[in-house]
Amino acid sequence: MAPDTTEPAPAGERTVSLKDQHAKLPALAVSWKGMPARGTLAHHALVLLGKALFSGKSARLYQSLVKESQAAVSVDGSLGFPVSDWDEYKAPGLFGAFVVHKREKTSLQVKALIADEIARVAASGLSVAELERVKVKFRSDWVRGRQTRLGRAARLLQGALLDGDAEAANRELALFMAVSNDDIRRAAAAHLKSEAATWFEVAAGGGE
Amino acid sequence: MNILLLALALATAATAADMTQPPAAGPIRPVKLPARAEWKLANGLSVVLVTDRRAPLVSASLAVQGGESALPAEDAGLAAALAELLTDGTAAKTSKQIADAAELFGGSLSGDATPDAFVVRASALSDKAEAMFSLLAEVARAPSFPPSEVALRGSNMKEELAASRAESDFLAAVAFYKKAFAGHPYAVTAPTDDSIERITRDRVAAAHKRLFTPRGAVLLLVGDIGLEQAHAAAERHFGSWKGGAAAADAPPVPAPKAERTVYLLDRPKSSQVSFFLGNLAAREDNPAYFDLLVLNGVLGGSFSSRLVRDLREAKGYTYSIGSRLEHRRTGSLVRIRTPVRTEAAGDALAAILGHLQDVRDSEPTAEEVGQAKAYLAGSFARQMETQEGLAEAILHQKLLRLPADFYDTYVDRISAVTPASALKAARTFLRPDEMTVVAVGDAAKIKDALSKFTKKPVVSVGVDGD
Repeated sequence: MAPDTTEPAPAGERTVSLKDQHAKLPALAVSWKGMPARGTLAHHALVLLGKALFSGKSARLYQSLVKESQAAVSVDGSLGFPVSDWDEYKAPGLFGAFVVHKREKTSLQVKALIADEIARVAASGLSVAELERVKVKFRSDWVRGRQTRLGRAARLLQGALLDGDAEAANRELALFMAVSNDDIRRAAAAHLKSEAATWFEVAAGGGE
Repeated sequence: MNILLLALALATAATAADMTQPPAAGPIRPVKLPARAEWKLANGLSVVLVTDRRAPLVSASLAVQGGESALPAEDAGLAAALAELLTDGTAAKTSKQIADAAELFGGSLSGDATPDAFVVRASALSDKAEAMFSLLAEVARAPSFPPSEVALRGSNMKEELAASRAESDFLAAVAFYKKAFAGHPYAVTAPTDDSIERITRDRVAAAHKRLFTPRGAVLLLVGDIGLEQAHAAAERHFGSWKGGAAAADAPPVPAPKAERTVYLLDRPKSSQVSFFLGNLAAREDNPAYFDLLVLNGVLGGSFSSRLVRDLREAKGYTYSIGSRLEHRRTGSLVRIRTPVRTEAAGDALAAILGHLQDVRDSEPTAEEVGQAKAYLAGSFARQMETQEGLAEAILHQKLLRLPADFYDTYVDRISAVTPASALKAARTFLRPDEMTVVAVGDAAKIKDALSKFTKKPVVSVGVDGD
């Protein structure tokens, strides 16, 4: 019998503080627990939301943290971050982010900016233009990943192993393209709740 | 994770196969690149088209001559900042609008500064190629370098430099190129705190005006696009582009060193020692280049190479080690890189130099040569599976001015290497007694051990490699 890998419900918001002697810049990481199962609508919605928040220069959190507030140097994150990308994701998983920020900003300031953006998405989702951009980019990356034999083999394998059917590799793009803005809003509200978050603040410095 | 999944699948799929032996490698098959068309616009821009309809994608790379080596050493980092800032604003678009537009054509757009050229790369779904060409031309020809974006780039470069300096590998690389290419523009590979201060909007705009010119530049189009469409797009988006003379090539690299020198950057309490060592070596158009390439594969160019098997697997001095050949337009080098445990620093360096001596003393085995050849030829074939891989190869050939058939004959020339020709290349191009050796680590613990590897005193260097 397969072991029960069901994850217990998140036990409330936590903050863990670490000090890295060798780090030159402080960082803030966050992970939300209680992610949806692979192949569900919420799974597809959170994958696209991860792209809208973190992927590339037009991403919301890049704009908010690096450009507008100029609090951060880099942002990264997604569903499955940092362990798996969307194609190899299988619950139980995490929705995670990692932000390297400037020394003059506190982790609380950075946390507030992230939490604000999450709250905004949970309340009203993405704009129509944002959702279209994310979908076009997703489709193009999907095509790009299928250029190589190894890429195609990996996707068939993931279909067989994680979806129970190699044919799933041929159906998945349509499922992602069918995600609506309401799906994204609902998934954010249901899964990116503050009580499911663990924050890791990493203080820099001291040592060489 | 991918590897684990593959292993599981293979294990369940196998029935009669003997799983105790790796499958025999098949014969090395030739790889021929798709045909290309080349023409020149009236303004001097060279256009190269490779129609490749395997995927509904188009990539475009615009390379202008110059790059990092065309700017003075005190402006280290200016080229990188310029490249990055190309996509941070034009007369008509903000940085955010540029990023949004690139995402909407299903691709990417980014500027990059290399030692010999600036390269702006774009890719798109082929039904949206026109939008890509338009944006590529806009950012390359008419960036506005908004003062706020220039200031932000400067402040972020300072933070990034501080973060990089926490990595002993970064410090070792900076010092290695500084010494290996001493006095040459290629010696500068990272900004300094002072050079970042000099990055102003005026300097960025002046460098762009001087260096971004169609003369000497190359526009490479690869993908799901035909000749007629490529002709029209090149003319429409780049035909009216004007500019001055192309940047001159970097000067010839310095003469090879006469003796080995060991440089040490003190990093108190560091638990590891990062080594970079190497010497100037053969360009890719040298007749013996492929002999050196295969020999490098035997020495440290792959996971089954001698350096990995010995220093990582047998002796446990390091987690990662490798040797590679690197190429700039006017000079190439071979370099070995590894971080090792502090207490093993002297033994590790002795072992590396021992392997360099071994490959100069006697022929590698036929098995080693066969394995290196199969790995190089196979990796090359896999690189050519994607438009990006194909585009990078052709761009490299154009920018380094390699023969037009360089990659068409690549696999054949690898196949022709023998243990005897590899030995000859080792003796000609691997010069352990003349290498530049850089170590970054706790000087109090390693300086004595390092002094055994040089006839002169160990030379101390600072964070900028000076």
